[in-house]
Amino acid sequence: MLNGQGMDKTTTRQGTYCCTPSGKFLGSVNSRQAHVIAKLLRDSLKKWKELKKEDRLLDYDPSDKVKDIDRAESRYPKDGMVLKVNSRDMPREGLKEDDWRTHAWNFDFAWFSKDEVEDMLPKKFEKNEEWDLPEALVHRVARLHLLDNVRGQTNIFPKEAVKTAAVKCKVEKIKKGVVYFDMSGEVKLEEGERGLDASILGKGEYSVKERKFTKFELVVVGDRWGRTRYNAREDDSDKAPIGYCLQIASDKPTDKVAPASFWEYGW
Amino acid sequence: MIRRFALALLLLVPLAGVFNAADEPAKLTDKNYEKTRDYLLPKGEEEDWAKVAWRTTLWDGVIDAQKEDKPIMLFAMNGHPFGCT
Repeated sequence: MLNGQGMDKTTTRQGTYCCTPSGKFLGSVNSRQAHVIAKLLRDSLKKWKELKKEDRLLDYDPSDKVKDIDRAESRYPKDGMVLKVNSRDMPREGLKEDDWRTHAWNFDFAWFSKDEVEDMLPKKFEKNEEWDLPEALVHRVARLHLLDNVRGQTNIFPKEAVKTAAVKCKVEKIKKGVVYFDMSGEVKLEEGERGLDASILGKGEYSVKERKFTKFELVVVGDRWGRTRYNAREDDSDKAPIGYCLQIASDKPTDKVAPASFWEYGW
Repeated sequence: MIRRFALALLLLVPLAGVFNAADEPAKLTDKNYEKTRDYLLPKGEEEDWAKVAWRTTLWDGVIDAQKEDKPIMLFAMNGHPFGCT
């Protein structure tokens, strides 16, 4: 069923749908207006109540099918680390307060396997110990996640677009089995007429006892330029400031979505 | 009038102290690190959508809806609506 406005092949599939566990269609609409969604829910609930239980529900336990579903989310690194990557334009002159684009923000998730997390640790836990985060991981974060997606979807950067991407770490102190460390670095990406030139600062905490990062936070601020087809920069492709904040994601269902460009991970 | 101006100035000063104008590269420093981080993170009503008891995938929703005999609301976009879209 296409979304709401008929069966034309060009009609968008995006939007909000209501259905029964058995797959019976109850309604759909493509709108971000609260009152439109509220009407969809009321109308769908009315149809739901008119259905017999045997029509509403599946005649088998859907849990049995989980093993047959191959989604990226099934590779969620529960013994690794997930960072939520928040992106937003930095304040600048000339933006209009009543324009949604001024306040736009977006987010994605960066995944790290257990082995990758272990590769991010220093050789020894000592005050003032210095080390670099693995180049391959920093490059992956840079080209897949430090994107101008503030206003909408965009393309990843190819490997050759990474001109610089490095993060250095230094242990600040060790207290009660927790290693506190600072991070700093830079990233420069260039592909054709688009790019990013930014500096990186961060703070981390690693629990030796739990063998995991209890805090891993990176802030990235710099200039972006250029545009891609769907990132809504048609009239805003000159160099302008952008920022990112990467933090350990929660374990809520909303934070267990796969990275937007998961296929590039090769997992 | 002076009070209003003072309030406006108070509101502007924190940003002016942290961020640069459009024609200068944005500078991230140890001093403005926390303010910059807090500015970048979603806050207030930007996080209202997460109050809904979403499931990560459609099938997670099917499993729970089947157990609880409830209908399913599916929000589908180009790109996962809980992720980058």
